Amino acid sequence: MKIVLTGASGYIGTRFSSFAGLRGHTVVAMGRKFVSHCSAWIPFDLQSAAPIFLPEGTEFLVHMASENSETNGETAENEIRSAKKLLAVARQSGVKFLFLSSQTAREDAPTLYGRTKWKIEQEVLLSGGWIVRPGQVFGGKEHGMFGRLVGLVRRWPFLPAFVPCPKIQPIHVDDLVFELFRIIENTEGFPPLSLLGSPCPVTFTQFLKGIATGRIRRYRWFIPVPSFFVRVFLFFIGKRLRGLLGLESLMSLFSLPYMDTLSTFRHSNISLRSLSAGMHPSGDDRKRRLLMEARTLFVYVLRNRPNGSLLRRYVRVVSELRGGRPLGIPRWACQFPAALAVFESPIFLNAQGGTEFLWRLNAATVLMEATVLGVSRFIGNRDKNHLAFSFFGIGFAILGEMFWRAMSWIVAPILRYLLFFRWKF
Amino acid sequence: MRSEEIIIVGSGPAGVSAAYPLVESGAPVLMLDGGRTPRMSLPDQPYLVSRSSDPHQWKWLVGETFHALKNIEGVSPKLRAPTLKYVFDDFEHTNRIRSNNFVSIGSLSVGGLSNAWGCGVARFSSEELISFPFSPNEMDQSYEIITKRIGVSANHPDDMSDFFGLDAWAQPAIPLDDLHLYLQKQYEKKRMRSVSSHFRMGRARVAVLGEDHEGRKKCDQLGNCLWGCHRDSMYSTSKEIPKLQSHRNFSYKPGFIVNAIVRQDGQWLVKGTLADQALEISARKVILAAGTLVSTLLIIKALHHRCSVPLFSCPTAAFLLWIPSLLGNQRRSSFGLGQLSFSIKLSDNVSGYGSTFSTSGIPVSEFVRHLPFHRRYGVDLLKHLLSSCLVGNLFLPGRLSSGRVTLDADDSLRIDGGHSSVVSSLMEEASRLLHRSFRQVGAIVMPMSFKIGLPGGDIHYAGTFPMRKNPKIGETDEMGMIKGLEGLYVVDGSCLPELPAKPHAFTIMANADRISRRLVASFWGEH
Repeated sequence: MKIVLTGASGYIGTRFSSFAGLRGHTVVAMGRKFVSHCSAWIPFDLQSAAPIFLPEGTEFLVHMASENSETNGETAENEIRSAKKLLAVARQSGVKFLFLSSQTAREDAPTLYGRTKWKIEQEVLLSGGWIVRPGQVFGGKEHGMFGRLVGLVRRWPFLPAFVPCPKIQPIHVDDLVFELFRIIENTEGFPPLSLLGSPCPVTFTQFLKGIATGRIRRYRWFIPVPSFFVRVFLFFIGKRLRGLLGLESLMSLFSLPYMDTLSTFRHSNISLRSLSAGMHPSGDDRKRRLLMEARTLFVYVLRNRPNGSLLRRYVRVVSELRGGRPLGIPRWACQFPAALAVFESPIFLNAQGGTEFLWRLNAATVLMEATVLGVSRFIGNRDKNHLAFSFFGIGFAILGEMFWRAMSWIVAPILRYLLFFRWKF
Repeated sequence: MRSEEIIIVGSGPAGVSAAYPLVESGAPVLMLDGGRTPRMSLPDQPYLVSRSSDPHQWKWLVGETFHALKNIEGVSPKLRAPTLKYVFDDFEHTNRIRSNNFVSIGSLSVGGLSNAWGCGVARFSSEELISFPFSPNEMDQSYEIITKRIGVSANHPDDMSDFFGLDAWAQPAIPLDDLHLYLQKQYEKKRMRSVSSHFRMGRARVAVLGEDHEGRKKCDQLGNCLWGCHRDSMYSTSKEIPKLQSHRNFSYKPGFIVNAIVRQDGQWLVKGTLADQALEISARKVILAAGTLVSTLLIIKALHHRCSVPLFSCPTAAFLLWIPSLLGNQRRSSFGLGQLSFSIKLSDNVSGYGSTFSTSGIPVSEFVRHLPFHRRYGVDLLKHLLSSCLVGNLFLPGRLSSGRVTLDADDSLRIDGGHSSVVSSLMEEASRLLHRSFRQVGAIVMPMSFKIGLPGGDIHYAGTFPMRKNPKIGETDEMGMIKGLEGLYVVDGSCLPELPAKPHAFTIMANADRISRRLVASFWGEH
């Protein structure tokens, strides 16, 4: 399918072009700048009144281009006019039209950006096109709003935690692009308006923490800041100053409407990756979590740090033989692997996921024994073997066992029945 | 379509033992076989040296495709050894065998299960041969021939000499490790005084060389027995195929999977696949030696028999034995198969047999998984304890099993396993007797370590088409010929009418040799 794309050089447009190639589509970029990753380029400017032509054979026009910054009344009007021109040319050529809007789009949006998006949406609906409103897009390369937020978290050790905190509905850029293609490839199966974002909103602070832990891997301090004062401040500095200071997006954040994305999910049967998974540069932190799981199991049994090849071998085993899903060992147990003994109690072994935990513990034991490091742990230094050494070694093992039996007896029911810990299986 | 005089199906102990007399007499023989061969080289350094220095040990301990983990629930560590993968692979799937409460194991490899057997060898006594439809003396010559051909150790006179009955033809013993030596000395010291008359112990007789024999080297005690012997000290019939091929009247067709045997125009038509191509070969006589399970499947199909037939297998148990006096003993690589054997007498005239093995050539993870300890402390414990431990097994007679084999409507073989109701009480009695007897010789059966195995876990399958003096349908005559199927013989475990608590492969070989010698006479009589 030949797809004409505006905003091909942007955050979402770049991923869209890459995915299109993988799915066998041809993308012609329309934009101000030449885009090398598309098959062809047509000059186009939202602010220009120049006529628009679509290349022959175009089947779909995807409009993503937007004036994200420095939006004023004139640029907004130009943006709407350009969208209308695109719609008109698409209609004349019999080309289907998809508009990538925003979660902020509504008639009474506090920002010009949100109101502009809403006006374009109305035109698209009149023309029989399709609209997608995404939540907070994240993941992949650090571009767009996501890139700005990552930069902020990377630069500042102290970050604001708004109280009460506004909530956002994140969606990974690849999940969004995947869903766009599902609409493009089967328009008849989709309603004119699709709302895409996590059905379980997260607070903005959680999102920033996700960037800190999953993306830049740094600890960040969060200082509580009352939202009320921020809103009063934003109100008093006025629209112009807000625009100059780049604080318009904060206004959008505080008045972000909730999207009922569940109806879209029910319709298209999609599943979104989690925030922690999507924050990883690869777009999937499964491998990282499996490596963490491997490290925890190995340190628990081996009493020593395993080398990288052993960790990778474990990840291969779980990926090839067990479907590759991490167990979900809690973070505190990863930091204190001896505590895994608690999960070896019948309360957890007989519960859902207990069999899988035991299988992985067995697999880790077999893998770690089959290493030179494992030999000293499992067989010991043969020269050191003598009666007293063995006697105290056995005594130590029995004492340790008794201690953890007692601990398991106390801690395991608390974890299971009071803190509701479950294996993610 | 090719036509042959005699076809032998299977290259395991029974097939090779049946082939030798016929081939040596000049009779033309074609052997059909699954033909799978090893893909990995065997470790050739002492086990403990490889373990402490080889950075790539995981490749032969776990396997590059994680074979050991794929089979982590398997009943035996051998099923997890990557070097033995080719022995067990695809057996159930290829032969369409399904099992319920039964461990069904077989092989499509050259040499069959002899590539991974425990090498235990023993004669059946006259009492044990009493239900066989011929004089026990008929087996004497075959026992001697087989012993001399395969090489058996140890010719060591002790309390188990009569039990094994092979000392006259056996080679010198393989040296015992420290733990077994201690046990043996303790046993000999206390034998006359306190050891129960229901417990006898002595050297294990195994088909492993105590001295070089026909191109094979004697055991060097590297401790790699679990993965296979690079010196061929452990007997495997796979090494016999080249010798048989040196005879012009012997031909060997590997990769031929036999699916069915049908009677057609006075001949037997062997139907199967070779490299996924259907193939048929006819023969005047067919000797089935494909292992009890596959032979049973082929016979049931040939008979169009839809009723179930009984299947013997020995109820088994395993236990961990600790010798406190040797706590802190230094680990050394040693012979990894049975070093000492014991026999026990239980109530109702039931006897049991078992062997003890060194733990130094077995991965610790094989034990720690079964220890009622948290993993971290289980490893701590075994690190210090295992060097003074042995592992033991126990077999009870096969008649105490209640397995049944049925041909299902889709022509697959269904095996329903089970033990007779008396097994649990006999095992309890055996456990008490072993606790007591070993305690008297300075060893402790570790608490909670005595575990009864799953039916079929012994891999001693037998008795589906037992030899009888006057066979009925579903039985065989003294030549192993199936009643109603003239010219179709079975020489593997299927035709044994009795399965005592003893290694049975050796008697299968001797019986195959005996039947084959009689076939030689009839073959040349006809020609």
